[in-house]
Amino acid sequence: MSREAILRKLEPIFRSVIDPDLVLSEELDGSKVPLWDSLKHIILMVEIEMQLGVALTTDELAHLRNVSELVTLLQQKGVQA
Amino acid sequence: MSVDGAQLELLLARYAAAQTLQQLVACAREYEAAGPPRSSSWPNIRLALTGNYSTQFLARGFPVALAARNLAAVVYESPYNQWRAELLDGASPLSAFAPTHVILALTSIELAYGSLRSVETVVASVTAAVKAALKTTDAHFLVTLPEPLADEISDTSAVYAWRRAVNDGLRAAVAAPRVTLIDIEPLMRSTGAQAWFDDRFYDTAKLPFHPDRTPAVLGVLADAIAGVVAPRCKLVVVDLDDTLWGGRVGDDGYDGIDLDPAGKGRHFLRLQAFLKGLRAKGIVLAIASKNDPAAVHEAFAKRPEMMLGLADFAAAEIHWEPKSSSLARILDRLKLSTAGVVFLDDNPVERAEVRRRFPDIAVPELPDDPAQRVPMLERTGLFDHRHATSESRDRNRMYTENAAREDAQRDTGDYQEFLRGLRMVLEGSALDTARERVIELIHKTNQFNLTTRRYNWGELTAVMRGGFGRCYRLTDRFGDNGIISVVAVTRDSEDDARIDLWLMSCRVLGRKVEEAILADVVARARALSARRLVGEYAPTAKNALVRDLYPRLGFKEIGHNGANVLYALPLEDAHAGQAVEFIELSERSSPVAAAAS
Repeated sequence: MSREAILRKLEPIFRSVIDPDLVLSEELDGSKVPLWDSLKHIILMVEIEMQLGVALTTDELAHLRNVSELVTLLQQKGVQA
Repeated sequence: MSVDGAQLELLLARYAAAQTLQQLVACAREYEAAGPPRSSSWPNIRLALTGNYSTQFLARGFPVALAARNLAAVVYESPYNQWRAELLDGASPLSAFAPTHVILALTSIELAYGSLRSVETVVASVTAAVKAALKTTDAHFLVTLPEPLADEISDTSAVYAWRRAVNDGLRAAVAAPRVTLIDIEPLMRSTGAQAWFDDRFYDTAKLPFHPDRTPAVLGVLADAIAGVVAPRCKLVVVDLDDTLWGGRVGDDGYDGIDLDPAGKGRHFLRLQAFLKGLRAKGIVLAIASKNDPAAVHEAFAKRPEMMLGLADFAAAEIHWEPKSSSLARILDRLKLSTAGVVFLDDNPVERAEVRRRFPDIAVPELPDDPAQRVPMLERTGLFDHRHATSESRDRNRMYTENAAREDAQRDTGDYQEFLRGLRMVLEGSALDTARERVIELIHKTNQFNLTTRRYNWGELTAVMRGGFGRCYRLTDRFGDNGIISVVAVTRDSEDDARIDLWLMSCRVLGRKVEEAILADVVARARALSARRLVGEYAPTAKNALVRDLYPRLGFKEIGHNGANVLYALPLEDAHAGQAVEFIELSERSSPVAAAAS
């Protein structure tokens, strides 16, 4: 699946969990999005697992406060349309 | 209801339905914006939350969770894993917050492997912290017992022994009037290990359970707080027959009631165990039973299966008057108001009668099936902790959705009004319409049984020659009570029709059903051109209940037949056998008679 397509799948999840007005792009990370705090991050990871059907490891959960790395990881895990 | 109120209702309904952390946080956010109802008289709680794991999710959710229990809360959250410093230091920010309640949220995961890990050290440090804080604040402390660990997969697991020892040690050392221990294990058991544990979330965020377990954990903690603020139930008044045991002790005898732990009797014992548990928590028990006191005493004294003794009850009203009178007397004797009183009875008519007179007393709609009663009572939240909700949610919670049960006339009225409201219909028919049930009643009934003659069908037929036999079915607003009475009248002479057999189920006593039955019997005796209706009372050890029945019904004593007392009612007297205004008499035709015509 293309990075663009993955971003499109992620955006509604980010919007429902973090910020309804968020426009998702690969440049975003925790430092650039104030509303993306640790509590939201937990919920975000739970939602991504559930909605995209992937399983994340401890390390992945901890370090994915970065959209670009998240997209790469989801590509590797073979997220489908 | 104000706009405030309606919106809050909706929000709290959404909160109650929240299954995920995300849903919980959304409700929390909404409640933060709205705040408690403006005109609320809710108690104010200052809750300090401290612990050895990540408590931010709980802290966020507490205000709305406590609002669902009619509590207004301000919440202080300690920094991560600072519980020892916060509690030991009288000048800590937690102390400065001046909490009314403190939750010490402890997870086994942080305790089992770190520096504190020996049982003695864990117990000692928790105890020291709690005891220090008890001195520096007036707060009530709620401490979660370290929960089962994921590695406890067998009773020989090392960590199982560790955790059990820590729990036992804490129970012993930390016990104090202002300390409540909360055990999360039952919640974990019903959730299941698979859904509970997720190491990834502990490793990354110091959450000891999957984030979506947060709403349920929050519920347990909020229940514990609410239970401390306003313990709900003070007194439970219970019926005996078909509530604490199967059957009726007056009829079946102490040895005939069902308390068989290997059969259906077990479900009555479950309720007894439940009540015993309530008593251990300081809830008072009382009995309100329409019964013969001697039979009741025998049951308690002579049945070893009984888990409760008469001494467990602070009051016992055992007589034939309405249950509402019993309740009034119990409240008076124990000097209690109706607040926090629960009444348990298997009979919907009794429940309605009590509810009518005491709308404030909680009267759960016990399921007909005894096996479902304890789970149902647990779910009401009446006994555990307070599930304070608005009236409509209360009703849904406490009563089963029995749409057929409309509310009884609450406005006023006397007992007569209540009886009228029952809309009783007494259907009379010939004995052959319900042969089996008639014979069963003849052999089973002991208390309301005037002559206690255990006829078989042949004997019964012989007795009725020249006379008649009737059985009666009673239906009311709550349903069909089935055949509740059998009468057999014999012709002693041209003038005399004698009631040779009259028995009735005690379940329908106190409703003027006897008078209605007599009206039917009188009508039939008159139709046979008898001039006198004779009644006979044969005293037994069990039927003292009906010793004065005939005089009460207008009969005059005319003599004796051995130990039996004879009474007579002149049938020419127009007042004899008057119908009961609020009991409709109807007739069911016998298939035999129909076939013969």
